[in-house]
Amino acid sequence: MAGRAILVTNNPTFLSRVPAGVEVLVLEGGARDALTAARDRVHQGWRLANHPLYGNFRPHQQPYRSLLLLPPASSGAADAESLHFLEEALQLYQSPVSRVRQSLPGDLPEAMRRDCALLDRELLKATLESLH
Amino acid sequence: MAYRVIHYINQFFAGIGGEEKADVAPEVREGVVGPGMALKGALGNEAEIVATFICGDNHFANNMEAVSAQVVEAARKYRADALIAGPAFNAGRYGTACASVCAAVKNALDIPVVTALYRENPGVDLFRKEIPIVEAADSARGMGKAVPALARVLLKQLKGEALGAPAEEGLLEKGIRQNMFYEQPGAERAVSMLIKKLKGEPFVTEYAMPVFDRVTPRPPVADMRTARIALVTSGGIVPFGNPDHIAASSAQNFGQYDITGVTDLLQGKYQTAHGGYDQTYANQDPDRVLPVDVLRDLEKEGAIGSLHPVFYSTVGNGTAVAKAKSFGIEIGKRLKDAQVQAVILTST
Amino acid sequence: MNLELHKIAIRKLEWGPRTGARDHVLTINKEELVSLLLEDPALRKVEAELAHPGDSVRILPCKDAVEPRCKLEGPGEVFPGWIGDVETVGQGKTLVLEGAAVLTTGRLVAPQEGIVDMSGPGAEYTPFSKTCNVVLVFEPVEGVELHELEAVYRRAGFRAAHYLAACCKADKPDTVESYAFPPMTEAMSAFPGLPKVAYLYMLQSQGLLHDTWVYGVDAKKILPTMISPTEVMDGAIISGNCVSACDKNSTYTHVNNPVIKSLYAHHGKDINFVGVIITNENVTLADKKRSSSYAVKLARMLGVDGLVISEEGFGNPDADLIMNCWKAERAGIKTVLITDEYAGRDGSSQSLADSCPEGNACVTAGNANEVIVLPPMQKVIGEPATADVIAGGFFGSLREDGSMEVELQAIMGATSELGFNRIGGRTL
Repeated sequence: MAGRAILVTNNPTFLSRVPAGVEVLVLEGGARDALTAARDRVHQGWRLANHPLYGNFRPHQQPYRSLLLLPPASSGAADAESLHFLEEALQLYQSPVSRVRQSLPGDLPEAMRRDCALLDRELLKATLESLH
Repeated sequence: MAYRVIHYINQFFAGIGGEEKADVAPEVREGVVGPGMALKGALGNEAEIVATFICGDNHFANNMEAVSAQVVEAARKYRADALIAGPAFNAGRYGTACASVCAAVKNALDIPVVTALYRENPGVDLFRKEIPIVEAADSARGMGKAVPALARVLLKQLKGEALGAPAEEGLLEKGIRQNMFYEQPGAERAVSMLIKKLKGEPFVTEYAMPVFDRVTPRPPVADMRTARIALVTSGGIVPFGNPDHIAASSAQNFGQYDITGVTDLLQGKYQTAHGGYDQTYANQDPDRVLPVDVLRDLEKEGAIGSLHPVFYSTVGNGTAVAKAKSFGIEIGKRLKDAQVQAVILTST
Repeated sequence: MNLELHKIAIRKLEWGPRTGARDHVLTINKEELVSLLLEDPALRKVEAELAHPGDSVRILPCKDAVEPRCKLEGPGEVFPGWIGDVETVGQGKTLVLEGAAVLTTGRLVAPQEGIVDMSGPGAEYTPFSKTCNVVLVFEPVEGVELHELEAVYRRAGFRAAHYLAACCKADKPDTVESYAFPPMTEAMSAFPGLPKVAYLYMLQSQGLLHDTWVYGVDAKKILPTMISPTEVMDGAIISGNCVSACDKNSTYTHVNNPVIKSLYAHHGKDINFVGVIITNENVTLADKKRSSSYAVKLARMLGVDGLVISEEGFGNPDADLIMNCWKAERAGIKTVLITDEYAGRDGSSQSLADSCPEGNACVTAGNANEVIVLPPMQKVIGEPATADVIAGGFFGSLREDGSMEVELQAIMGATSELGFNRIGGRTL
């Protein structure tokens, strides 16, 4: 594999736990911002390693999203499947008619934020380990 | 005492005239007009059409809110217990008018409303969640079937009876998911459904998955500096006067226009044929919808090889998917024959 | 493989000096039960309460539900890998206290739901308002790490369930049901002319609090494999899934898997039920591709004509469901899918996060976003802090009169994608 994988996330607790061989890009903002940033990279040829809607959480139940992206293949073409999953996920997060608002990290009490960040890391664990 | 019903129809069904009379302003006539006769028969003694509201289709399209308010006012004045609009079959502007007045009256007066439209009528997608819409054929040949269904659905509502499943009532689905308790647990329903599917017997899925036309993205253009780029729009940009008579909604055709030597789409030389949105800004500067000016700049800078000297245009407003697909196939073929490498598609 | 389920029908629970069943009443020695569970050094305190159908009782957050079972005869013990050894189960005789359940509750992480109302409108939606429940409320000692804590609660539920059944070994069953699962050679030649059908059983396997275990093995680490339906009845598959109460498959619903029940009911009449394939729902996309292709390959090796595919959870698993569906259909295997929906409170949003044209036969266990108002109950068993979470809008809202407005998602087993309930969805 040419180049390093990138973890695009709005979960800052990844910063102090940088998985080996992975560049961590922590974004400000909500889950939607992480999804959008990953989507933009997929258009530049990066490939998604994990499903973006991991975890049995709805947009208001988990403010963090992390997307592991693998370096572009030599063809440079956008990976249709990565794009499909990200667009489906974004639709859920962007839906103007979504009845329940999505939550942002800042909306949550500290204890909840800590647990959400932990679960986010846990659910990414297997995908991060699969790199090795 | 019979329920009092007000009926909404367009200029054509009122016998005033066709497209040439589509601008006529609203009028209210007491009693039945046009298809109201058939409805009167179907409603029997239980309900009576006390007034008919008539409006030209273009007039409605250009004054939606004002005319809807007038319909509400008329319903109030005639102390209507309910509103029937149409049937409008596959007539796009008329169908949208019928569905909008139903929604307006329902919201303002909270009385039963109903209309009848063809499945692909643009009024369906706009208002299916808000109002009951009887499924009608695509032309007035379906009048005989639509009228009794309209009467039945309206009377049921007037009597406070709950409407059954869409298929039973002859209604188009609202597209809203609702929970219910079935006779059997889900597992048994699944096994029974599989048995039917294996036998080739008809079965009804409990959830119809949306089916999308997926288009596999093409690889990027290798070298834009040598590429021939075409412009195609469903935003309705046409030479002034709309020479191919592309309809403002439910388009039946597309146009092909030469722009050799044209560097800017000027007001008065080009316009939009598209209905359903405020045309002011598109007509002021048609480049806002079809960016010929910017592409000419890019051509001059050498960022693109050339702008294809022909553009294609149609109107997306309520145009049937099947029609749009056939336009797309034909336009694609012509672009390919002209060795165009990439296309910029614009909408409204 | 042949398994007999010896069922004692339980209609009432009571505390008493000796644990045992008599006249459909399960008497439980509370001290004995609690001290057994406190043998685990990670537990500081265990409270046990009884809740019966019709009681004005609310239980939350309910983690798992377990049916009391134990082996009477045959190799191994129920819940292999958790109670006793990892010996293969699914043969011999198993005792079942039908109508009873152990419900576990205790704090794990902040966002938790899982409501069981024993009466009122909420009771209509959960299978556990119809069972007589022994509710265990756990408090851990300080400093137990989250993975371990989840396992501690999980194991305690199995130990309690096993204990209750084991104390009734001498009691006479009310009914005996026999389930045969013959060797492949026999199964394949049985019922010529009937279509061969298998069950593709998807297991939640996304990670912490989203796990399922097969003989003690983490399901995210398995390749899809075959399992006998009788092994499932003996608890070879257990739940470590603590999130999304409505569509997590509890251990109770695993051992009572209704898809297996229905396939047996039609076996030899309309279909030849030849096998169960388990597969997972991992987060990693490469795993999804591998597992779906491999599971469909197993179905092809069995030569089946049809598959019932059940999902667990929503979002990420929708992608697995869809891959399983189209890969099977394109291999010439007809499918029916069991899922649930997240169509928004008004039912107007898209129900699933993925779709395919091949998915033309779906059974749905209902829209999990439908809102329901739960009136106050006289007694609440569990952790009151959870009410704050509900009040915080995570799963609904707490009203001034003490009633709660929640989505069905918060109710335990409400939209079971094993198709446990009669609820479903339709389009208006």
